[in-house]
Amino acid sequence: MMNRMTTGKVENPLHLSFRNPHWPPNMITPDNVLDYFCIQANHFYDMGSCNQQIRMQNINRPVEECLRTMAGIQYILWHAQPPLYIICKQRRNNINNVTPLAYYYVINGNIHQAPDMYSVVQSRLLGSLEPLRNAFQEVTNYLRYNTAKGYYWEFKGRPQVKREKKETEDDEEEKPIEERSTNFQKTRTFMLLDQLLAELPADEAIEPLELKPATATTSVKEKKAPVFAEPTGRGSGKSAANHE
Amino acid sequence: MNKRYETIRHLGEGQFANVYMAKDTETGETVAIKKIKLGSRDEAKDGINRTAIREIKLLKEIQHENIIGLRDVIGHRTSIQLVFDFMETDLEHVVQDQKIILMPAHIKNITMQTLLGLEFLHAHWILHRDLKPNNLLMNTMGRVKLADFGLARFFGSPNRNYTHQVVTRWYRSPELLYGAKSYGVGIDIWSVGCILAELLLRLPIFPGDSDIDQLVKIFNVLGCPTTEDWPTMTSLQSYIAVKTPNEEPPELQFIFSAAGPELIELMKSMWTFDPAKRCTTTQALQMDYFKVQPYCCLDEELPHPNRQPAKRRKFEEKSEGGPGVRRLIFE
Amino acid sequence: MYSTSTQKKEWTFTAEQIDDQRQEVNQKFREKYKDFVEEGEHEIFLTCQEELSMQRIVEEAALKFADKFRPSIWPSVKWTAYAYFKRLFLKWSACDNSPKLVIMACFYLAMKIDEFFVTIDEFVGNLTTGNPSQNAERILALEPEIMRELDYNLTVHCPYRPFEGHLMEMKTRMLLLNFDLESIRNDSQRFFQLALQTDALLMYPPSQIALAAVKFGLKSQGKSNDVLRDFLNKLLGVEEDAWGGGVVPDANTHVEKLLVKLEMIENTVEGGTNKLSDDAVSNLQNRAGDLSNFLLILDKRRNDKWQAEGGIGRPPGEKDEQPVDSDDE
Repeated sequence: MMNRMTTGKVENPLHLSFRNPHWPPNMITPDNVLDYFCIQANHFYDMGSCNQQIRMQNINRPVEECLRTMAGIQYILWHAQPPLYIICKQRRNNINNVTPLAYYYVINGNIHQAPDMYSVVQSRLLGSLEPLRNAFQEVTNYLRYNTAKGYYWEFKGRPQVKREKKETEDDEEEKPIEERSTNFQKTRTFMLLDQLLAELPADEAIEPLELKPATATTSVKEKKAPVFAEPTGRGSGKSAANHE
Repeated sequence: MNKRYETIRHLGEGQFANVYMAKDTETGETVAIKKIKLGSRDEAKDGINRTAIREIKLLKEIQHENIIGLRDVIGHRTSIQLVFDFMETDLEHVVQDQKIILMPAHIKNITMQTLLGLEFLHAHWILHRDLKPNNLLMNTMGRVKLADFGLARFFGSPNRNYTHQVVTRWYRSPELLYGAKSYGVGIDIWSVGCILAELLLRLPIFPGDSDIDQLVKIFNVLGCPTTEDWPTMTSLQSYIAVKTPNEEPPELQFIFSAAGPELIELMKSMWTFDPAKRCTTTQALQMDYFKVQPYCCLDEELPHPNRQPAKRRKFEEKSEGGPGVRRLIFE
Repeated sequence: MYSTSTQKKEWTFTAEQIDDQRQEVNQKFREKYKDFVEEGEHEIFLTCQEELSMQRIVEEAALKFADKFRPSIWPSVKWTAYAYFKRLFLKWSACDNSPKLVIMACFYLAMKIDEFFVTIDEFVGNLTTGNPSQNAERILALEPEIMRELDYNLTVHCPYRPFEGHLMEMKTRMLLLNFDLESIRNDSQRFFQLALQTDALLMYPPSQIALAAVKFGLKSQGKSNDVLRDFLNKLLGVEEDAWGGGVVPDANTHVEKLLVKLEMIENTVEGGTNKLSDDAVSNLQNRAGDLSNFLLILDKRRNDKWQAEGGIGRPPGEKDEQPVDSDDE
């Protein structure tokens, strides 16, 4: 696969965004969003893709119909909810089999690559680990021990120097995490995770088979009232603590 | 026609000939019979048609899987019939069929077959002189063969001038347009470049409507040749300096947007202005384009104007129920 | 490319094969009439040698025709026409088809093949005998027949181009020659003219005939045979040269073999052109005249017999014409 945009240094596509300068974003419709997306300047777009083959060959037929018979890298409109469009990059192996490779959000004319689950979870874990680690460090400063009393806390005479240093550190590390996702993305991610959880209840996988009636009820409950915080809280919090 | 061949149907009419589909009763194979017209008295006046004679004299000498096979000649006092391999379609039909999408592997295969046939021709000192999509025939097995040798001839004879009025204009090289009287394999290579471009764009790349317009169309894409590029240019018989409106021609990469750099490189060398610097078939076949992925598809995988529609209908039926899964997430 | 050509595959023979073929043709012609020939009349038929002489006479005359032809033709047309002529008379008898007419038709076809553009009117304008329209009609009628008899193998490889190639090679490889190579050209051309009147072009590859012409030219200029040997050594890479390949095994014997072959070609060419005396020519012409009168008698006899048997079927002696369908199918 060619990517003519990469000039030596490979940038993390998750850190990039693209905006087609020739189009006013309010002109984007579900019919033309692929045209908006499929231009050479867009670093998310592969010029060797099937879409570009069709464009180059001046084929005057619906793109979707053409793509169905072609094998290779393709871009299709996955979901449209103006002003949000989601474009899927997929590899079509044959007529009935495709492998999704990436998703792109086009929102208000800005194109971002949707992070994959691994990146999301990793980013969350990192985000929660650092404060946790700091908390432990902080807390050890107040821990005292003597033979008579055993362990005890002493909250007087906090070490000022260390505190200041930590604050600057926090600032540096907090920023990229903040930039990595917008509020919208976060909400979407929660929704996604939630939905996934509803479809594939974690309990089912974890609990032994004998407890079937119990799991059934829990999963139903979850579907009815999805709680945003639960999956992340449960997953990241627990595992992070355990690992630490 | 003849006892051995049973005519099945009339296939088409050319300038000099009628073509029939026929069955060879000895082998059971389908063949194409080209019956040379002796329409007007004037044409018949000088005896057997020169075009037919050229085809016979050249094709009798060469056998190659990418060159149309002359199986038999039936000669009578008043008519002459050439029996050829039967080929279902030609590249013009392929190019014009909007139902077909040519994948890079298809295009590579077709280009390679064409070049292999042409390499053989050139190795036998034969110039085709009329390469165009119409003259590249294809059968249901995906075999591509060069056909129509009515303008072909041996080359390399010293001190002999050839007419420059050969090759259909759109596929004619600049030296021919400038009236070159001695030329070589470069004219065929240029045509192959144009055919390759047409496979990529599905439109003729240089559709000139006069010889001058043809040059302008070429220069609009490739830029004007300088005497540095092509030193002997100005000494050609009908050389004229052509000014093109836009000074900076677009990059070929821009025109052939989905083509890889190796393919662009191949086209550039086929479209080198100076015929002495233009690549030969052998050089073309050794270029990187044929060494990088995607490799040539199998011959039988080439799309075919006749069989494609039926297959596609089947695709659609199947895929109706397929992609339901993907709606789940947002609805 | 000669190595894959129909010329090499189908139309190159040994001297014995050529002789056998001519005997067979002669015999076939006699057999056609064997039922009607009476005692003592067998002598009237031409012998194989006489038939060949007739061809040679025509060939000699045609050389003059070719030289006088306007617009002037290039030599390869001539060579091609002669090749057709010789090939045809391996299948036809000179008694059956007038060699004079056949060679004209061969010339006409050769001009078409070699992209030498003349109309039939221009062509017959160059003929000195007969009336133009009749000549044209006869030549055109022969054209498809000739093509069929040649099995549509119409490409003929001539020695003229290899000759130029050899000269060029010699000029670039033999820098120490103390004479102008161009001086052999006239004699070499004479060699080709002689060769046209022999069977050489049915027997040897054109490039070897061209080498023989070089050899002949060198000899005529009083040069030693070593010049040619030197050249062949260089050409076939016997001498160690810039390619660094060293001596190719067997190349030495290869050169010697080639020299022997060239000697053979030279002999064929020089030995094959015994010019007939004027007496012999007129004698042969009488014989041919007698034969054609005799053939008329034979045809009459045959026809009488056919009539006597009730005239069933087609009259004898008529050629089988394949049915020709109309063009507007």
